Amino acid sequence: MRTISRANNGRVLVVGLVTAALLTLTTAPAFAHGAGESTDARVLVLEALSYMANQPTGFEDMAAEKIRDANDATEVEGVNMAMVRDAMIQMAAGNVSQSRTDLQTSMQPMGERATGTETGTTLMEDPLEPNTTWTTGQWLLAIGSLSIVLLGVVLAYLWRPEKTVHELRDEMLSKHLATAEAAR
Amino acid sequence: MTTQEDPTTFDDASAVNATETSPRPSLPRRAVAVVDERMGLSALNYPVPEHANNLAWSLGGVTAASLGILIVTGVLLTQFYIPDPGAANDSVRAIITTVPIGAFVRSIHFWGAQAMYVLAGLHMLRVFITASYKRPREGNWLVGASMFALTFLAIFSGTVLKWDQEGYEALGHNVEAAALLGGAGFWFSPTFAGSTSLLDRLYSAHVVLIPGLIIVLLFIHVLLIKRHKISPHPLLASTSDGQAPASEPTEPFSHHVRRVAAFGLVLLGILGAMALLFPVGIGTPPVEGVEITKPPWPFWAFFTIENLVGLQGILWGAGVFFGLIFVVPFIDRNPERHPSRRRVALSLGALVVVSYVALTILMLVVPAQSHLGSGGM
Repeated sequence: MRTISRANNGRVLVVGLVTAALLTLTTAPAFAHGAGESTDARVLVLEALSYMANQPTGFEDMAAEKIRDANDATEVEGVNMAMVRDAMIQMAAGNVSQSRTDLQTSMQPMGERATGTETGTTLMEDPLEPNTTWTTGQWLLAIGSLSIVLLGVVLAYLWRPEKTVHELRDEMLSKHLATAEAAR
Repeated sequence: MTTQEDPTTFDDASAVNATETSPRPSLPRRAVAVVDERMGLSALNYPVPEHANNLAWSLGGVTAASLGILIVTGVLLTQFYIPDPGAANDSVRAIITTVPIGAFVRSIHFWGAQAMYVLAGLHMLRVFITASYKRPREGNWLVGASMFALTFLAIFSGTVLKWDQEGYEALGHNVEAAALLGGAGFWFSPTFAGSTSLLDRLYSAHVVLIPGLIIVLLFIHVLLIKRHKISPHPLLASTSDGQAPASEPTEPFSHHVRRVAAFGLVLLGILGAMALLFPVGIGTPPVEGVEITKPPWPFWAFFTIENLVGLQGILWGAGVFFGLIFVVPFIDRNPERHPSRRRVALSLGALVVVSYVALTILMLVVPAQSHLGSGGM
């Protein structure tokens, strides 16, 4: 048994060391963002709109850069470039809201259904935050949820095992000792 | 005609005696007996060791309860969800804002998915700590590990389905990771089915393929438990063939089922409360070439590795994590079950868990970084 245990411990240790080595010694170059920018005005307009809607740190500069890229894009199908230029002017003047409206207006309807990894996005909407103000219905749902929790807790308590594991262990040990004593 | 010749003659005396000695069962009991005769409910009364009824040994059942909640809420959501890239995000917004209790059902589904992942992880942890995967239950460990991996995939596909920026970036990571696999990643290639959107295909995976596989594996899992019986508790004695000792008291399996049902009610109530206290919204419609979100927390450990070593880190991290889980019964051949005689295995297990938790927490302090190739996938 000791031999098996030692061999098993050795096997487990080897696996652990190999795993650690795989995790720490394997490296790969990280992809850098920015390599290979899109030349499709539609994609660039959507990227600018996404920055405006999500507002990550420095979004105004990021959006302005995308609008400039869209203005210089070689593929302009589905985009009203006059509106893109208006958006660029508004952005330069600091009117982010108007620039966003102009960009959204520049997007023309897509005729085909999106396939593969195409997003199908034509309208950039703001993130939808959940409504945290409770209505009467939500108060009823809350009371119902709490009632279900209480019912479950009561039933789980009523249907609990007669003995805990430690009580079982003590009981089985006592029986074992009594049996051994009787055998003597 | 005498009473003896006419079998239809009613003997008042004998009838009164019969009523006094065997009273007619109540209506509910008669109803149960009718169903039991036809559906074999009493077959659930076979004995199981008493330790099977504590909470730790009921975690698997509670995980199954969470699956049931996810299936019910998921079916409701599919009535209003549109799996088309041009309409998916809007349909989710409509569920939240216009469908009666749509926001509540969706939030239960979201928190139920988190609960299933946590409960499945706790269940596996319990099985590992109590050495319940040891002979003859190695096969059942593999079945359970497969269900855990499928749960992970369900969370991924469900994240993508909402088709917001976070979901789309998750898809982007998946497509680029699949590209690293070459031919092995063909299923996630956009060109595998060029006329169909990946959203459509992930939708079919999320509502049919993954839950279907989980249910089939769950069926096998339960049958194997019945076959091999409940594993012995490591603090109590066990037989040489890995069974609970005959001296341990038993209870009917139906008692285990009813206690799991009680825990399931607690889970349902908690999910309802979470859905109301922490309702779930949705992000902006997706745009390719932008990487500004963090993934859902079950993926944080792997994305921390990605931040350190690049996109391949996701493949390596997930591969090592799930690979280790699968090989546990085959590298730990120590027949001992008591924790004091399994120190190496338990220490390494603790190391894996601590590493996973640490890598997950690190994502909280690391800002979202860009790793996807720009210009789309």
